[in-house]
Amino acid sequence: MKRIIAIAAALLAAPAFAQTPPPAPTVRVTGSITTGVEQVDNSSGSSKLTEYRDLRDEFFVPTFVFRAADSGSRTYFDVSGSNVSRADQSIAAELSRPGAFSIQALWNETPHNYSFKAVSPYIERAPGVFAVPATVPITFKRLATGAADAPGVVASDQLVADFQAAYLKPAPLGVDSRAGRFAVDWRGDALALAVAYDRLEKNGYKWGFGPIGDRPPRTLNIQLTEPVDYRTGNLTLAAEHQGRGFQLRGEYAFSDFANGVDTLRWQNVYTTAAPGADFDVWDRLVATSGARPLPPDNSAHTVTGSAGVDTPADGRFSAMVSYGRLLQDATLLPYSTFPGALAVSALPRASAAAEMTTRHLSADYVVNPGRLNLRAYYRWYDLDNDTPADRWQYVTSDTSNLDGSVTFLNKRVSIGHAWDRNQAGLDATVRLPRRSSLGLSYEREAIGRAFREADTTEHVLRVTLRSRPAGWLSTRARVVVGARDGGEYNNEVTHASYWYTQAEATGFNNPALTFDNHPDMRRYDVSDRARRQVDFTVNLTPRDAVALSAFVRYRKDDFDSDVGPSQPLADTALAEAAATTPGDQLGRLEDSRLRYGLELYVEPNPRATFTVFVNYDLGASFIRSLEFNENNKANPSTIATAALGPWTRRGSQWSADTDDRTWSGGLGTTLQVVPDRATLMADYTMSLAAIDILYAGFGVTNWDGTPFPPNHEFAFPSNPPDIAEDLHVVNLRLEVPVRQLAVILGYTFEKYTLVDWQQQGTGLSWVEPVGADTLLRDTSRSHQWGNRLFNLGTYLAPGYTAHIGFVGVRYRF
Amino acid sequence: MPGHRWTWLAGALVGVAVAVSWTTAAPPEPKQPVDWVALNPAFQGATFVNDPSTCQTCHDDVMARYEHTRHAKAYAAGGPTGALACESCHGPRSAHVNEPTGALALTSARAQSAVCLQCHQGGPRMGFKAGPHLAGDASCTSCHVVMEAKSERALLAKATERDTCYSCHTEIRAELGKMSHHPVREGRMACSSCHNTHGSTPALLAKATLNDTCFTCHAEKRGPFVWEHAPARESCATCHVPHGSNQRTLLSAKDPFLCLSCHSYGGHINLPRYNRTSNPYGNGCSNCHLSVHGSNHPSGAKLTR
Repeated sequence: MKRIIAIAAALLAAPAFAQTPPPAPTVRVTGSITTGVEQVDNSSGSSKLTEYRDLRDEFFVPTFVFRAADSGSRTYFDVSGSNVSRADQSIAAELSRPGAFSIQALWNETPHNYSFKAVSPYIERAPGVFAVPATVPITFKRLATGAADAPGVVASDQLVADFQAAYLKPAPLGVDSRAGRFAVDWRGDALALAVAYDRLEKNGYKWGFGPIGDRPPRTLNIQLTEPVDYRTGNLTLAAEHQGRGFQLRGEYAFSDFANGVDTLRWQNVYTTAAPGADFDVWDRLVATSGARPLPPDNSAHTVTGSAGVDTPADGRFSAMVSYGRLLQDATLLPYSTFPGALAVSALPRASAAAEMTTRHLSADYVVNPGRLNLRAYYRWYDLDNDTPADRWQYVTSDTSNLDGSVTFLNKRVSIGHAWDRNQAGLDATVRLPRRSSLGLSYEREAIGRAFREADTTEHVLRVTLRSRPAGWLSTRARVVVGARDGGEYNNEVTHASYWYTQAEATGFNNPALTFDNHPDMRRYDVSDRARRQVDFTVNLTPRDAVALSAFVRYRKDDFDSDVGPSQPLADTALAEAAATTPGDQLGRLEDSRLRYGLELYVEPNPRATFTVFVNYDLGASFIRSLEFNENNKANPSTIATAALGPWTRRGSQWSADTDDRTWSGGLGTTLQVVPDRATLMADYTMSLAAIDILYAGFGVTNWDGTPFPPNHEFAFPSNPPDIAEDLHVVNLRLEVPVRQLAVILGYTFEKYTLVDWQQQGTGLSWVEPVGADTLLRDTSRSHQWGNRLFNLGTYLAPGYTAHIGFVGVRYRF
Repeated sequence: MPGHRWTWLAGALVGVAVAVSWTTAAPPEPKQPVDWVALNPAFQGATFVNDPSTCQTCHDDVMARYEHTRHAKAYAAGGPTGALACESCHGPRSAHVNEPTGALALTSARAQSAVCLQCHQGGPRMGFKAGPHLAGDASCTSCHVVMEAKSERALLAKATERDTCYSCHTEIRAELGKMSHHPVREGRMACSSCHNTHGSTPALLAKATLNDTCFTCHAEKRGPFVWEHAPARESCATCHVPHGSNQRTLLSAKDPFLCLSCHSYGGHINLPRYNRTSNPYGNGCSNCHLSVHGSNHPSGAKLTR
């Protein structure tokens, strides 16, 4: 990147050498620089305060601007920056001659701090290779069934806790982004050319997980840091011709993503390798390390042509066509740690060979005959998946089966998901007297999907009325009605992702023979949907210095898809071919959003402004599902009364009704407390969020209505604790100008509080810490390691109270 | 991607930079001259005065502020329309000089925008006249103030780009105030990072599709992958809300409930809790199904590796 910056600097200087001397000095220089010292007090050291900011106790340059303009040659040079020298700095420079050329260089850095309190025993031995200084000498080396709370497993939990106490150390958890851009635009009479190169680098660590295999309950999962070493380079070349009333543009874009760390490898903390082996001998073979690929290198090419032409009746036609290729060919890892135990261990191909082709057409036409405004558009997008659909063995675990073999029956096909969209619409707006208008629009969208449950067609009608009954009052009302039809929902489409032979299709959990998702499930992105939406906005300007606006928006999506009882095994020769589903739609059934807000702006005199705003946002959703035993899809009657029961049983349904509410608002003022001598800027903003979930049905009770005890493995409370996340921010800033200088005093107060059961390790009915919150155990106390999570810590970005002070000066020139 | 692969590009750019620096200072003619009479019949018979000092006689305060704008600098050596600064945008003002009234004002959004488009029609603004902003009566001057440099760049109506957009899209300000958000309120991103406000694409996205827009910064999720997560390939918005969320990583619902909205395979997958600390804790289902954007592992069909 330094090379790029050096080149950018050289380029910016180049024109100075190339220019012929101007006939007379006509250069005008202006600008400003602000500098000062900042002091930060963060009560908890939470990373949330500096999630995207760099705040430090130090002297720095918050802003600077330098502008030079040569009116003789019409050439301008601007350079500006903010937070210079910090991890969130921005620097922009431009040399330009309007209508002739522009040379731009931009530099932006943005931190993304996830946590300053995460801990991990892992040491990164090499990029992406994590090892622990010692392993945990657990005694309960079993993954098979066993008694809960067996002394061995509880003692082993304590050994893990002791291990953590000995070896946990702070782990970095944040990613810094550095984005650079260099662009040159040149404009001639007939042609304009543009070249731009953008580079984005991300470095650091984010949270990740290391599952040894993927097969709960035998998964030995551990939370650990995942290295981020991403580099994305984007090159864009463009040429444009501007004629009288028309434009033609061609563009080529190449994007290249590279990950400096291809694979994450981590040591299994619970194992010690058997002599000469890479596994430990428990009640089965357990891999001593895990590996998974990190985001692969990939590239994308896009060629775009676009045109726009003015047409009669103040009309305009614009169109764009593009063709793109997405490519990814990373070398693949082996199936598992135990590929030798597979019937066929060789991969169908050694690298990903993943390719996609995109084609896009978009056309817009607008015309204004008389009082009408007519707008028509058509868009077509097609994504073809050219990745080979090979047959894979698919190993579910990096642990062996009890007999030493590994699971291989779960044979999968890498099917090529693809989709295309046709969208067309017509808007008609008629202008009414008094600057009012009535608009009517219709849109049809049809999406075709390969290997999905449904294609969808949606019709949307919008009616918009804008009115201005008085010069100081304007309103806008809109009603939207949408109907999406998912047609016939194909539950059996997932059969294509398996390649069992008939001889192998004997299990009671055979998704190629039975089904994958429950047949009553309708995935909300491809299901039927009835949409109703109402928007209303009013703007009042009763006086020149007063503006009031208010809005209310409500949208409701109903995903009812006329689901009824079905017999998914009807076409099989199974004994229970007549088994019938309850026929109640599962999945997301409703989704709604209510938002309203008010904003007031008052400027009583040129030296004072006041703003107030408040917003309310309520998102509500309702989902229903049904718990069933996947191992008895073909013979549900055999588990008719089991807690983990059949897919035919209505009593196993549960529902979750979620309300996600946010109140946000603020006050602000800019006040010349001493006219032209002292200006005070003050604002207060807040965001108060609360999420409550009303959970009902199976989980609160068993299928027959018997309440589950809180530590039952399926138990979930009917009303889990509310989630609350509140932020209050106060900013005060006083500026006192003295000639070209201005003394600046700033103070910021922030208070952030967070309560979230998903980030909590104590005080809940279903989870308990063992020794510390870095080892959480399900209160059901199952013997299975899958109900424990060795983690980086709870509340990784906790609440805080912060005070930030700034004293500085600004010099204008 | 070693740096040397881009050296040829740097060399080419140096050549271009030096070449363009010799280009003439004369601005090009506008490609779409305005028919002032068509915009406002009151212009009939009016001629160009070509003397900003005449305008200054009455509009000195406005012109003092205008002096600091990019337009003022561009016109310092002559207006690109052949007229001088003021009349390039305000049209021939002889009638106004003789009788200074508001008769020559341009009141409709289309008329106001036509003035700007005489020079600014190309590039990302190619679709503006056919786009939803202008159709909704949002003209250039709804977001730009030509006569005063209120913002560091682009002559915006407010000091920052986000404040300009918030003028109409107030609910977006509220969303960006939520705990999980893109760093817009911190000033590290702008609305234009994802949107081309002058375009005509759905949601005025900067790229042809939502996913292409997201991949600009999140190219690690671009793939393609051996194992695709079909809803994610179709739209990031299936699971994420871009402006702000009370859930982690801009998710549209709390996991595991988000995943359970679509998945009911049986066993552990069908409950928010099934004997798994890793289900209701942390990232929910994606504690184990961590490759939700697609997997490149031969055993990654369930997006667990």
